[in-house]
Amino acid sequence: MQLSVNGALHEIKSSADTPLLWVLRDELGLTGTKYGCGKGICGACTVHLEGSAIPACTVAAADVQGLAIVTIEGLVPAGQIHPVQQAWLDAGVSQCGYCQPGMIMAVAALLRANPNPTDADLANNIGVQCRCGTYPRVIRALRTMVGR
Amino acid sequence: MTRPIGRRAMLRAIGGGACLTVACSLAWPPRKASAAPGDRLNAMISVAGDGTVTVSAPPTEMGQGVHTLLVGLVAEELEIDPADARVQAAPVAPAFENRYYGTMVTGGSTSAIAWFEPFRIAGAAARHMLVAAAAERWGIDPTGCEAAAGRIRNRTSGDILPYGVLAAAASRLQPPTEVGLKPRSAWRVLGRPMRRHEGPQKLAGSAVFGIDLQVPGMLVGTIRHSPVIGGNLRSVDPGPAVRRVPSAQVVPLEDAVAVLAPSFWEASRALEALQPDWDPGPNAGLDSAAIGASLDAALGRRGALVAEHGDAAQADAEILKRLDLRFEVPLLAHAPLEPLSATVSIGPDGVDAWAPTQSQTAARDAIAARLGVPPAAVRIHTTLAGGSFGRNLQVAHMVETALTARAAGRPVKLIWSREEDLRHDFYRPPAATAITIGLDRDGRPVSWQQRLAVPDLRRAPAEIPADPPASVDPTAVEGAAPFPYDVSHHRLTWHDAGIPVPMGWWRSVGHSYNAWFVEHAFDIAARASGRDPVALRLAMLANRPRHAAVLRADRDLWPQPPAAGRFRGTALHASFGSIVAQSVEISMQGDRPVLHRATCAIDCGMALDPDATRAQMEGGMIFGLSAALYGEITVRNGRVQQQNFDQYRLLSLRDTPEIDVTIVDSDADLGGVGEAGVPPIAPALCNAILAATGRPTFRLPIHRRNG
Ligand code: FES
Ligand code: FES
Repeated sequence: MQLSVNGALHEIKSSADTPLLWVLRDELGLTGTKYGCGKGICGACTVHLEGSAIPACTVAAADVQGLAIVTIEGLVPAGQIHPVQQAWLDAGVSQCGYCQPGMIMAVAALLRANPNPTDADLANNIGVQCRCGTYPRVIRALRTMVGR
Repeated sequence: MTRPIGRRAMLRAIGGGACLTVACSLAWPPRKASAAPGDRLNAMISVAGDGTVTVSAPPTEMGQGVHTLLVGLVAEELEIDPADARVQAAPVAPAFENRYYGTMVTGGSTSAIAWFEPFRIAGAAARHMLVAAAAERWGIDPTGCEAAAGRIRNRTSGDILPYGVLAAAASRLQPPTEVGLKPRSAWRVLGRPMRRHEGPQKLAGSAVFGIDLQVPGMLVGTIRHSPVIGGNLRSVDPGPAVRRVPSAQVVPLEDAVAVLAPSFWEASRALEALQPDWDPGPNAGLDSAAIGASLDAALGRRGALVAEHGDAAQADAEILKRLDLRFEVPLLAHAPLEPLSATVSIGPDGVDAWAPTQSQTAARDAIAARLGVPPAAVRIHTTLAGGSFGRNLQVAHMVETALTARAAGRPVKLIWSREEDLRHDFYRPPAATAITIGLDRDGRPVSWQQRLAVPDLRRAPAEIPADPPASVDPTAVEGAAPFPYDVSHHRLTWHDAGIPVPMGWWRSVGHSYNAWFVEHAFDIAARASGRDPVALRLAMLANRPRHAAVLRADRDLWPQPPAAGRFRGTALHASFGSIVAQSVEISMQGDRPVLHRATCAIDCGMALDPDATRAQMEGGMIFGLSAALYGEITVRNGRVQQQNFDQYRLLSLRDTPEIDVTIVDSDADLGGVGEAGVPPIAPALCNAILAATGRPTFRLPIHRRNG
């Protein structure tokens, strides 16, 4: 089985039913994608599949063969910073930071699909759970990004 | 402001290398002996030959921003740019013990308070020695030198020497016996918003949390404990696990079974195949109703007097009307987003344990005791924590990981599933209270008599509570006394409740329920008398000017009265040395509150990092709202029923109100901010619901599953 992760093809040894999350973390060593619930609820494991945000814990590796997978490590080339990450730094969003890779992947996908989201768009599309309660700053950072 | 070091603090410079290292420990009452590795490891600050400044951080970074703060304390006095410092987690050593607990621990919102002086003194001492080294090199008096931005400038010649070049020479000098600390007016780092030290790595996904740790040759495992609380493992046949995952290794433990494999997924699949034979133990019949009954029974017992002031007879004479109120809160889980994990490697030269632990000394001692090795042979490496909120104060899972690694003969990373995390927490204890409030003819409370039933966290959960208890568990009653409002008579008794469930410290501990009990009861009394709750509070806070100022500061964030259909509630609570008032505005959609805006005013003495203080208030309020709206762990047949976030809901971005925080500067002592933002929001919300519907809330959570 082969997977396309962050622009490179990887030969995968994990069994076909292994959730993408654990292939990324335990086989490819891409630990930026986090485990929070394993049930598609919390969004800590959010990655991009063909540009859309999906929870990596509920898709089997076999089902994403041939599709472009991007993780937080591949969001921008090494040494660069994504505009969402920059806005996050400026607004001091992260606390423990555990949810933030998933949060950033979800927001980056949303902005690609809709460069000018309203607060309601955010509320309806950003379901990533943050136990530290960074939501007010997520909203503030996004408002700044879209010039509101 | 010059700090004599002499008897109060001891400074050590560790010389002989190319590196200047400085340690400082304030003298405080004698503590338990703690094995000390080499002095070099005890260094709080080191300045390397290339100029790199490394700060050794005793407190665990779990989102509260404490690493950033420590760098700020050092940078302020050492005269470096905070961005140029590195942070490493401190090893277990006496120099890194939290002086309020005499052990290495991150808790009680004490980190900033405990380390405010030692890290500034160490920074100032290091600067002093670098200045002396430069003066020696130039053959001038130290007063002719100026330290700034990691360099020393010769005021006369304008020559510059970077710290790195001076580090080796400085390390051979005697540390000063007195250092001057900057007055607050001269601060350029402290008191201003700081940039998160570890912020960039967290956003890039490269920050290493406990769950991310990789050790060469390690196996990854997961664990299942007896489904019935307090049960044990009788036996387990490894066959089904190995048939499903041939590489799986099954490790039976006393009350749990762990399964190891090359990956977490394989370990989980193998674990699912097991059919362990559990001895359910004494709790097979335990359920939430029985827990409620235990609280009731405790309220009916004698209890221990916690606080009493004023004159009951005088109050009796003033009372026109009495209100009898009873409130109850459930067990709660910590549910940090990072599930519990630890990694242990046992080698010929000792044991290495990595975890986002909040209790380094206790972890070291517990692992050493179970493995039968001396404490000095166990090295604790603290990782970043993906939240914690008190969960990682417990060390049992680290011991389990060590036992599993020993059985496997390989390094092991053990990760708990979310299901295991919710079913086997050390829960926030349940609590109940009965409050009798006497109102005078103006509807003002003049008497407040409260009985409080909470389990004693100092004894084993299975022990039968004594009546009366020999002494009061301070965390059970914290926040219920001292009673801030002026009344003629106040009396609080505590009644130990027997609840056979593992319980522990949950962000803001006793304050998490005591603020709700007192502050919601206050509004119920005020509304029963037709008095404005905030005005009534202010009238009863004549002797508490800081409380009153905070309440006013929060009120000032609401210049307009609420629009039609909108209702507000406010609450005030002092905890961890800080005073916090919070308000929330809601509308009702059927019987559900919709949260529109929330506010917070905090007096924490001074905010060392105002942005971090704001973040802690915002996060604390959201943490408190999750608990108030949804938080509930229920038990049936001895088993915790909540297994994942669909059953243990957290507030989502969609339901989060706008939050405004204001900081009230005062000259009071430093207060903690990591927990103080949690307690007032639950009563503020219930007070808003009371304003909207006239209905008090007698049990949390507001959205209860079981009616
Ligand atoms: S871990 Fe995938 S959604 Fe929670
Ligand atoms: S920052 Fe900690 S869970 Fe979001």
